[in-house]
Amino acid sequence: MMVFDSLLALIIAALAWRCVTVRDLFQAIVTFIVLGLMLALSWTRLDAPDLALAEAGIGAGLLGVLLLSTWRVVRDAGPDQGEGPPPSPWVRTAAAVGSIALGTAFAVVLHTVEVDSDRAGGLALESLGEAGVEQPVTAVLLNFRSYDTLLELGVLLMALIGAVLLRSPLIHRPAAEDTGTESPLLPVLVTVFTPLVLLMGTFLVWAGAHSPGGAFQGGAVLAGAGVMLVLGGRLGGDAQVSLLLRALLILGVSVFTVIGLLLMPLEGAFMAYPEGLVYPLMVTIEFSLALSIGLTLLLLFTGTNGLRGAPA
Amino acid sequence: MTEFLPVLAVFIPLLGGVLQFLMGPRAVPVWPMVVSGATTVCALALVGSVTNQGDIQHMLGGWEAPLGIPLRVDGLAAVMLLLNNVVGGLVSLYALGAHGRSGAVNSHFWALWLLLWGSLNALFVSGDLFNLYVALELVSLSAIPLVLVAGPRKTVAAALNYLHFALFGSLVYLAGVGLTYAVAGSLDLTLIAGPLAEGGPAGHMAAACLIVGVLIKAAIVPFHIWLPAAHGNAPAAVSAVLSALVVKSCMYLLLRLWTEPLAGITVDAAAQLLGIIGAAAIGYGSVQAFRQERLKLVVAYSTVAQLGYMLLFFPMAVATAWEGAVYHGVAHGVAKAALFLAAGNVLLYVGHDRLRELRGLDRPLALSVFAFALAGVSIMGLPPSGGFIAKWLLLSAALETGQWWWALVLIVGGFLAAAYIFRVLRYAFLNAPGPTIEIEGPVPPRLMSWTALLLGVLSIVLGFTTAPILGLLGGLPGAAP
Amino acid sequence: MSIMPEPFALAAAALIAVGFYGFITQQHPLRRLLAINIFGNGVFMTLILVAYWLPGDADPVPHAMVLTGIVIAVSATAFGLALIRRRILDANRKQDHGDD
Repeated sequence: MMVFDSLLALIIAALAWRCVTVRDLFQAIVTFIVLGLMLALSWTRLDAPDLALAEAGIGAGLLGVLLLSTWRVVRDAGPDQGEGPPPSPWVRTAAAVGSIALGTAFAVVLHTVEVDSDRAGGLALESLGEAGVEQPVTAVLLNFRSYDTLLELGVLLMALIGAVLLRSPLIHRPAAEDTGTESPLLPVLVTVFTPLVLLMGTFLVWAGAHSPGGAFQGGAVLAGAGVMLVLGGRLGGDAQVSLLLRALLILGVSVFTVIGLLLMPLEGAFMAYPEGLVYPLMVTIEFSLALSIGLTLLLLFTGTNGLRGAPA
Repeated sequence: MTEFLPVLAVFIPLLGGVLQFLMGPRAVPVWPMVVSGATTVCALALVGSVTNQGDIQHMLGGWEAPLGIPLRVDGLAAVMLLLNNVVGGLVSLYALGAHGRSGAVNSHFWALWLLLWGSLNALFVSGDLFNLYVALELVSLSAIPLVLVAGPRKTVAAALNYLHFALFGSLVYLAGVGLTYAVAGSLDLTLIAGPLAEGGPAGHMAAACLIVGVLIKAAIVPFHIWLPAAHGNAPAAVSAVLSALVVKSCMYLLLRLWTEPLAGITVDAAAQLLGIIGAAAIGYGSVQAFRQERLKLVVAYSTVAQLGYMLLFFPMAVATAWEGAVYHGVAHGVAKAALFLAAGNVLLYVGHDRLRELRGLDRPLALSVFAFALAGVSIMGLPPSGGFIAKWLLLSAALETGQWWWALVLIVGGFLAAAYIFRVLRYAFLNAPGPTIEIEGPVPPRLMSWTALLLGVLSIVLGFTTAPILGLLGGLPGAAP
Repeated sequence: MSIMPEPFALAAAALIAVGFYGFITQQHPLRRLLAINIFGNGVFMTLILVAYWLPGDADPVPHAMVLTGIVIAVSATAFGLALIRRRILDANRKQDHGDD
């Protein structure tokens, strides 16, 4: 396997280099997406299959579609986007020297670091019995370090409000003049994306046997399904937002916070859960999180306030 | 009850912002004002109980360290909370005048501002290295959309630049978090100092990443290039918050990291380098501030300069310097908020803020110009003001440690600040004949003038409140009492 | 920990170096966002390696950190892309209507 790993690592480094240096923006984006998939592959080799799926689904998949859609806007606007002049050879040389030094330093550090094996993660693995879920990462995300997850939902919401403030929706309607040679991209995207979503759906079903599943992966699947509906013209962005949709967007963060605050006087700590109720609470929180995450990611994709079913 | 206060100080504004998003324009301005009031009261109660009973700790989820995340409020956190929530409350009052009408953009403003307020409180009470990363991201990603409230057309480039640096800075910081965890096996700020010090090259790399990441987010020279456009083009209330609180929160983090988890690993050369960077920031920022043609850009570049003073703590690293640096953070926060709110009133009244076309503002905008002058006294470091106390403490520290060159920096910095503040005042008071300025906007509502003035007065009052604030702060961590 | 080269540690260092290079040298905002994300991927890879080095089962704490990091990076990037689109839309409008 050493040969396979080395080859994979080499491919990753080469793709990163190509993504940064290739002239054409479109090729840079495609390289970035392939890089994401290769990273996902390498992370399965490092015992992190759940992260591999998150990277493939969110990092490469969802972000990839978003990058390609934005590329269309950039392309249609013409070549000159008022960017500054290319950096001088001096800057280039300095950046090259700096990055080689940085990379070397990191490589040396990663090879010489004396890892402490007595760590919080080991404690987390030992305390799984008290967490209410069996899957260790889910236990950390929803119980031991649930506060991080709660705040992270705030980041998602803020990014969405920012995108809404910008009023720069992506137009996904396959208009008459937009089909055929003008946009060979969409069908390709759908074909690339469908198996990914299916793969992740399968993973979630499988994970559900051991734990309530992963809220992030589940949310990503939801968003992925929504994105495909948008690309297929079945669902569209809408400037108007319904109260229901907004309520669903904040469902995760509200449920998480309110449960934590209500139980705080009883349990003596924020986000502490009574022993008998841990499992049902975890499931409730997880499902509301998945729903909110999925919808937020979908709206970040359409860049609009709301959603509506497009006229058939 | 007291151990719940840190949680409430974070989640009253956070949940308030989320619910503002749910309810939309109809809730403006009643709901945001209720939340602002509750937040301020809760945070002041928290500061009060720290004053009376000492540090407060709350283990989230009931999990012990290193498994869970601790919230900790010590003297330093309490002082920052005091600054954050007093300035935050006054900015909310100001914004009631500026963004108090119903409307989609105003609704988003309030949602984001309450979220930002809660995020800043979250950053100040966090005792966990990774949680601080999340809090930093919360702060940035609520601050950047807030810049857009002024209208995307003129702010989008600034916001994009801001986002690039914020995102890159936090990833550099995250690399430091990862290496720290590798070496120490924990993320609790109180448990990682020892392992980091013994961590060899990895420990040094971790420390360097943490520090550089925070410096990028704090807009310290040479990472400042995104700041003037963002702070100069945002709406006044947002500029005030960005300059007074947001970059300050990163400086707070730098002080916190340096004196606690990184205390055993910091080397003198790095400390001297930070001091030199600080001196460069003071010189460069002040000269740029003097050269600007727009009022808000003068104030924005002044922030670039003023952040440098807090960096002078590192090469001196004695108790006096510690007190001086933190006091400077507080004094600058209050004064800078006053400057930006006053500048916002000028912008509202005149319709632009081009310095050369401002004249005779002392009559119609007497309160705002007065607020600007009072805050200016503190920025220049003249007595009696908070800025004077801070610079006096830093000056004493420079002499105490025999590093007289920092004293020179402080004195020159004061003259430079005087130059750009008086330049603004000269234009504002100028009654010389010339093309009469065209007045495009209304006289700012009383609320907006008085909040600016109140902050201006506060920056003077800080010259007399040294004892209680420094008492709350406590001595330099790790130093003998 | 061995002194044997670890391919994925080298890959992480390469991602960090290349991402940094791109962040400095790229002028186009979208290219810069890509470079930042590559840098971030290097950081995530580092964290995953740290988790992998725990004897026995993989350490869930860095995994949770990476999951959080990915979601934050993606939402921030999505917001950045919306900013880029807005800028282009505004530039186009200016061209259509002359200077405003």
